[in-house]
Amino acid sequence: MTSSPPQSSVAQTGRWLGLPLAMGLVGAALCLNIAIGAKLVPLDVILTALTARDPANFSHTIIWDLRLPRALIAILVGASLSVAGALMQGVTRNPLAEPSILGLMAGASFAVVIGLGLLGLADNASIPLMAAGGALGAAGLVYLISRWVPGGATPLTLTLSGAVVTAFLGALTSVAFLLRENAFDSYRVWLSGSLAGRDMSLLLTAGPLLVIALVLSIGLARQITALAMGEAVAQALGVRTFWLKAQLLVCVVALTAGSVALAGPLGFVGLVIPHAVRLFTGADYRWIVPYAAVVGAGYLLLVDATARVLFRPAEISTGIVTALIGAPIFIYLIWRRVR
Amino acid sequence: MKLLFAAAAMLAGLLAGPALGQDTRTFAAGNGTVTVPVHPLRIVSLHDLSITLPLVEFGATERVVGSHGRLEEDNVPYIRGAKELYETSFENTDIAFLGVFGEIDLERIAGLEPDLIIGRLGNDDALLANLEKLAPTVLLDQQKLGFFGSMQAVADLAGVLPDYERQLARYQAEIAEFKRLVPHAADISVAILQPWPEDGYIAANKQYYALSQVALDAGLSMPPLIAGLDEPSLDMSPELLPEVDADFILTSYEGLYPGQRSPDEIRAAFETLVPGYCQVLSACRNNQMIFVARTPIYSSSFRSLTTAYQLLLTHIAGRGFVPLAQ
Amino acid sequence: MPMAGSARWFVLRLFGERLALRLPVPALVWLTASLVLLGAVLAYSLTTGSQPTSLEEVWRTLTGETVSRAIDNVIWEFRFPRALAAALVGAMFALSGAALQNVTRNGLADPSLVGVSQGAGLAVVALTVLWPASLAELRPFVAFAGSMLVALLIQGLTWTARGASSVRFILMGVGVAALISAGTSVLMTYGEIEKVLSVLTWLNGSINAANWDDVYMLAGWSAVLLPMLLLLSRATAALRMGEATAAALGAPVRWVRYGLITTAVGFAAIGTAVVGPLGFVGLIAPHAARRLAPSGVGLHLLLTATLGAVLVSLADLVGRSLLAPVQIPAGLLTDLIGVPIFLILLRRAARGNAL
Repeated sequence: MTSSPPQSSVAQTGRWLGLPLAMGLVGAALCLNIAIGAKLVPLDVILTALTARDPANFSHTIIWDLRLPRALIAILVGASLSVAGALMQGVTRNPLAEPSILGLMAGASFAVVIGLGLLGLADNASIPLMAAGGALGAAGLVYLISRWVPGGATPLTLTLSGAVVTAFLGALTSVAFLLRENAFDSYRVWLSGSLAGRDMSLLLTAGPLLVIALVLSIGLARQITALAMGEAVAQALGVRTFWLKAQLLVCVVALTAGSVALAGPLGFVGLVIPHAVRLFTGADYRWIVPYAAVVGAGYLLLVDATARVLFRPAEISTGIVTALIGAPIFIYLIWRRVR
Repeated sequence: MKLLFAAAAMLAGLLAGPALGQDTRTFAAGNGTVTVPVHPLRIVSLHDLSITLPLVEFGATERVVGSHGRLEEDNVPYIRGAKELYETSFENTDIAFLGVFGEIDLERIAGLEPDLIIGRLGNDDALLANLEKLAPTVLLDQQKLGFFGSMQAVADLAGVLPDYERQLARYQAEIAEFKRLVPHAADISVAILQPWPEDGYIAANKQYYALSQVALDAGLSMPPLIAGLDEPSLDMSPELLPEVDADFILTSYEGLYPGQRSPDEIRAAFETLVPGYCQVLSACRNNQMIFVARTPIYSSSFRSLTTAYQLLLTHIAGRGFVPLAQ
Repeated sequence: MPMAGSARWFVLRLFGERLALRLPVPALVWLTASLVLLGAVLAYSLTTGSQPTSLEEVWRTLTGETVSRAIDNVIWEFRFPRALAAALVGAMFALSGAALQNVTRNGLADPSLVGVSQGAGLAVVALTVLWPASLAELRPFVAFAGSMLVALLIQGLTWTARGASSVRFILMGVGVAALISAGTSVLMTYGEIEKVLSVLTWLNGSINAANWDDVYMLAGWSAVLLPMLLLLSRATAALRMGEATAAALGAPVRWVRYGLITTAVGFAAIGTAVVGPLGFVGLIAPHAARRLAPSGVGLHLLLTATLGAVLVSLADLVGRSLLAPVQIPAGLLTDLIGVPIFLILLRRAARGNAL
């Protein structure tokens, strides 16, 4: 991590200017994401589709009903997971914290699989709720474990607790798969984290949840900087740490749950993005959180486009690509940190 | 009758034993040349849809002592296909449940003292070494044998080939009838599509058990994208939906699968994948999209073939339709 | 094996006194007890299964009599090799974990936790999916190569001038394991569905398909690797005190490290090649052995192996009889059992400031 640069006005201006620049890049990523797909849609047709939609033209349907919603989900989920990762890193003061590493995603997806496959709860309102329940349960479990272990929530114990909780839930999911071939047949791709074929009506329930949680997170960002310096420092600065942590937990759970409901478990996004962002913003969460949201959105847009074209015509799951990119960065972080 | 048969089988087992006396012959299987009994009496099947079901259909139910199965939602095992088409289950026959896919219980097979085990190449290879200790084991290369070849091999192994041939003759008569009533079948296209909304793709099927077989035998054509496939089906991006439009689109629902239990759920699945899909497809706009119950047409059996034949004939020969504009 | 002893110690001299071990009585008692337990579990495995067999029938079959062809097959071809394979694989994963823990001085190292098993898994999946026609005999070697690569990668990444850091080793392993799983997923997305499905069963760690050939292979490799591990064990004892100490005591630290890593990887790779990755066994068994009876390295390894054998034998027994005829792979059960135990160990390790 780069240390916080002096609060010079130059750096300030740079960060103010960087945000619209990053947004511009997200816009470019969005265009790329929309332009790429199984069917070749020429650029001029895309432009026409965007400016004057003709409902009878299937190319326009592709742009509006297939690619744009998928890109929208990529933006929302990318932003949410990155912000969730940033919040978790700030609150636990653990550079490796992230929804998938700390087991929250395993909890959310396990709950969704059990709810859909065994209990038959398939309506759009209950999927994010189940995911939230699972994420909260897993978060509680990992937290309790780290409290229970003497020496407390060190990066190692937290990360290991997350890994074993994930392993445990994975084994349970495998047993469920074994016993219910038919019921789980259609969730294999979703379980590996995929943006393909998401139910748009799910956006109506999970989308607002994510947007509210994102806004709330940006609002809390200033206090996280204090918290990241240590509980004592934060309290001296007048932060009510318990209340803040509770709010942040709600944010993280909502962000994870909404993302899992929309795209399944996408690993390592919340690890990669905040670290990349810190290289530019330094340790100030007032900047880290909004930048993480913007950069995360762009990142997932690009990853999704890659996943679609890498093994054409077959599409690989977005979650596999995020893991392929994220795991080496995870390894690098450990390598550099303990050196 | 069943008791008598079982007693006779046991007696045969005790007196003859597979090693003693029983007449044997060689059979060219996917796993090499296997010496098999000419009249097997205790057959174990390692796949319900493509092995147990044909055995039931050819009247060899009482020679089947064990079968692979699946678990229903209430944890009751059943034989897919045989249950739906012939009301044959583990409860109303002496067929024993051997386990679910990939985790077959070898001990239970040993306890059944089979004289022949039939499985599938590519699926049961890991267990082959162990199975061969129990009885001659034949793994069928179903991809290579094809639809009829696989059924014929099963009938041949069970010693009920005449029954297979009788049913084949009837099916060929049905196909001849189809061709008489639909002389220009090659001008009519069908596409067999299946939406998988959770996974985000539409399966465009070139092979779909009996349904695609009848379409092929009747001389119906398929959209070029599907006809040109090397593999049995393509996990197709929804963006390509218009390219698999056809005179008739066939899609199936299945009570066993959540989210696919009725035609309405399948319509909803298409709508999820491609909003306004019905306007995109000529077949759907003209009400030529046909919703089929899956298991009755999704198996290796003549009953499925006949069901599929009647279904296609009724829709294609029996009513006027709006052809797909080229 | 000449044994001399006073009231409290046994001295075991091996290989013409080149290796002499003073054996504490409690550890020997525990070893005997766990061997008896293993014997009991094996005996129970031989008598239970979905095919009903009486104790007497089993006994008669084992003495060479043929009660019936079915029982003959069940006992000799399925239950016996399967029980032995489970025990052998358990011992191998346990020893792999013990060797890894010694070499990394990290109490939480386990071949499946640090990605060594997954390396073997990826190699075998790649072989099955990309070259379906390849010989099954190649599997162990390919698995070994895959595991070795992962081990070297982690070693290389965690090695610094100060020596290997335990913390880094284990977290690095978690990352490598995640990376490899993603690679395996890519292969499985790409492969034919039938091949993928059969690989999936294997990835769960299933002993269902075990036969005598597997037993011979496991036993053969164990016969090579176990003496290697025991020979290295004296140096390991020094290594446990830290590398500088070990070097001061005259142990050829570098070669012992390499030897131990190779042995650990060998055990895990061969086990994985036969039954697939079994998680947490390599973690639980060495710890249990250490807790039951602190002892010299050699005896600790023997106790570890026995306990690992008991653990996997039990997991397989439960997995095949709980919902019979549906078989729950042993690997899923060791995961489910292993996680709570891992957490208890984590707590103890943290308390002892080992982290």
